[in-house]
Amino acid sequence: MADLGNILLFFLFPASVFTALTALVAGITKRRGLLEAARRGAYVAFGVTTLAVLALEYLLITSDFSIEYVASNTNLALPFFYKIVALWAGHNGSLLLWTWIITVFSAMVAYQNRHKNNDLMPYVIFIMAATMVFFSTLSFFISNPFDTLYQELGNQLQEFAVRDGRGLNPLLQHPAMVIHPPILFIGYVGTVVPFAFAIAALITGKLDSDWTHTTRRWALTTWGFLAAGIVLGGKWAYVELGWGGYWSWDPVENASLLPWLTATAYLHSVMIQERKGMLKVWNMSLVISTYLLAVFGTFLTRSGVVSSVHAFSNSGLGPAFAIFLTIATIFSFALLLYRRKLLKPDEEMQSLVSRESSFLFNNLLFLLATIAVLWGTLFPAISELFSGDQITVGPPWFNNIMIPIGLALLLLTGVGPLLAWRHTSVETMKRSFGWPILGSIILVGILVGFGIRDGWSLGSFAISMFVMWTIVVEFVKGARIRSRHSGENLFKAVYMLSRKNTRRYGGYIIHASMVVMFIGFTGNAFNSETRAEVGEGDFFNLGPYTFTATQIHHSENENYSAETLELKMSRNNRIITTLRPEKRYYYASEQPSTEVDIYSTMREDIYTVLSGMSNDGERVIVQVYRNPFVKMVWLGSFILVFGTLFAMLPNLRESKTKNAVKSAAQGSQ
Amino acid sequence: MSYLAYLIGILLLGWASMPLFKKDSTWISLFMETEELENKKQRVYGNIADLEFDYAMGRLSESDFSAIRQSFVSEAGRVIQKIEDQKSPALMDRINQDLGKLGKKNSKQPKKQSCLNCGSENLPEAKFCMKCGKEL
Repeated sequence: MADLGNILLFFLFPASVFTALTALVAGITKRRGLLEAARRGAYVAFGVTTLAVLALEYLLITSDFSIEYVASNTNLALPFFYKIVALWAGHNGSLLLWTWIITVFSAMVAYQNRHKNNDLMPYVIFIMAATMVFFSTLSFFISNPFDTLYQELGNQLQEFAVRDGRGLNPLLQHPAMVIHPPILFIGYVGTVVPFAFAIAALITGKLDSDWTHTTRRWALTTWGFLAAGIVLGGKWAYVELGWGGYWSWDPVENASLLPWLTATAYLHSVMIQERKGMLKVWNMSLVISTYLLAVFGTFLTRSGVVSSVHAFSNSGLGPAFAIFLTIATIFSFALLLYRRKLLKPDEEMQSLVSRESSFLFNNLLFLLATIAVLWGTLFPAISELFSGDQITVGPPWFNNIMIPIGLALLLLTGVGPLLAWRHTSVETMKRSFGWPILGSIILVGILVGFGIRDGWSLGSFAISMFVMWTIVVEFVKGARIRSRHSGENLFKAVYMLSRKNTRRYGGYIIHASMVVMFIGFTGNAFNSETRAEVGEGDFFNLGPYTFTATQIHHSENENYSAETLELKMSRNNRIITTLRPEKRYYYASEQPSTEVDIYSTMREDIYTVLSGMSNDGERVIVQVYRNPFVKMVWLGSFILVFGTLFAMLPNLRESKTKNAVKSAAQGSQ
Repeated sequence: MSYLAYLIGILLLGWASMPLFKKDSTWISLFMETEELENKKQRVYGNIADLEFDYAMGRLSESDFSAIRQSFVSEAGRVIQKIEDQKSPALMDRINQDLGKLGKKNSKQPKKQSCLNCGSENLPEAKFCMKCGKEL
């Protein structure tokens, strides 16, 4: 089976070279046969890679320990479920997954466009196939997951198998492991589709809005997957790493944030291109940067350039990635430079206070955020280059820069949609912003009354209030106008209103999700924690809560042994819950792992970690964190996914709608 | 097992390259100015719809609304005029006329010459009459 997988994986290389070449020649000669061959090439690449993935899965499930990857990432006692997901637990396997997702997307794009976009498609397929050539080279020649174990016997190398594998890293033995990496990978790889269309548009010179229309859904899907992947990563870190938080500005976390930032900027500025014909060069640059940053993120995790808890150890792929990135960067931006004359704006900016300018500010802020995160992430590598030492900039550095930028962006989500295109007068601004501002001021007053003095937090709450207010008003006002003319009740009107412009209202839902998440982020300012060494019967306090250690017990199964502390949590002598933080020791990997236990409400999380045992084994050291509003972050991410899905729904076609809006406009004249 | 893998790979690659050996045709890429104008028209309409929505939601004053709307409407007018101009009957007539002239010019044949002796018609380039043989 290993041979089968290996040979099929090998065939990906000729298949992607074939696809790239036929696609390129098809683009130049415009011959249908060549394009059809390129399309089939993409299907073949998908076919062989799928079979290779299945072969690796078979090896993992059947625990074939003659394969190095299987022996390094699984063991016999590992639950079946984790054997399946071990496909993306290690470097080689996850690289294969990356490669497989590209082939899936290439085949999908080739199939979706088989009857249209004939001028663009050859180059689209070419770009995707070129990326495939690169990843198939890495996957087969450098980091092959089908490599077998060898040992030296005299002068000869001989294959051998171990009796049991080293097992899956305990940190990865968590349900989020099932979905987090594939979702993030889909987000990363998905950036190649808009990129391929953008480059195809640049090559062919067909630079009208065709390519943005064709890739709109792809861009949005990719963005949604990236966002979901980032939040899932945070959730995983929160429950698995046991340090009480979900985001630490770790290089790998940053690497996933970077393409998301530029993709978000793009989703906004592309609207100006569609409406006004402006920012064409800028949008191209954003699409290109998003792709490059996605590849860069993959490079960062696998090259050993920066050290991170998530990174794979130095895998020797660094130089290959560096070359690929350099070529892609030079090629894309040279092409952009070459076509810059065709990308002239159709209109000029007219007023500083308008929807256009708010989009522009939004983009500037996202650019700033991207540069800041990129700088902070690369700083260790840059400092090593100049001073010989890796100097890491810590979370405080990032927070100092990113909190103001984040709040400014949040404020814009409230202000932007209320500004009219072209020009907004002071009078109408007063009318739109008056009540929300008053509401925020009152909220700040109340919060100060409750003793909150932290400026950033007050600002964040005030802005959240303001934005939420404006969003609700958007829905209610729109629905009122609609129901006045259609006679629908308010709920039906809200539904119909949003279904007939899913992009606009899906966007508002996503804005609302951001507010909810920001409330969660702001909660960080009020975190508190305590640490105690307790034996059975001891108790300690954190805030209004009392924690009593009722029992410490030891358990074992075939995968690991565990110490569990039963911690009774009470308030005013009323028992709220019993928490059971655990410390595990995995036999196969010979690694310890902490299993936190969290009591979570909308108000706060009580997060308990069993950090160690005393020497006599009678007492344990327990750490308790009280984190307000963490649940809002997860709740916000659900709303975000819902908003993204909603924005992807096709608009409800309804001839009456346009008339209703028109007559509404006339009615209020 | 490995033979099977080679077989699968080679068969699939063969299938992919089949279209290369078929009788082939090319597609023609058209870069249409009208298409671009049509897109522009849609964009202006979208802008007007947005503007009306913004106005209905109370985001701009009545004077701003009517001024901006007027500018959009005249822009739409200009675009439509361009599209219409390209298809107007007068223009079509003229084009047909020109084409007609062009056709005539091309088909305009040099005059036939008639024989001074017998009066029969001969080809313009003939040197001797087809009927009587006299020099023309």
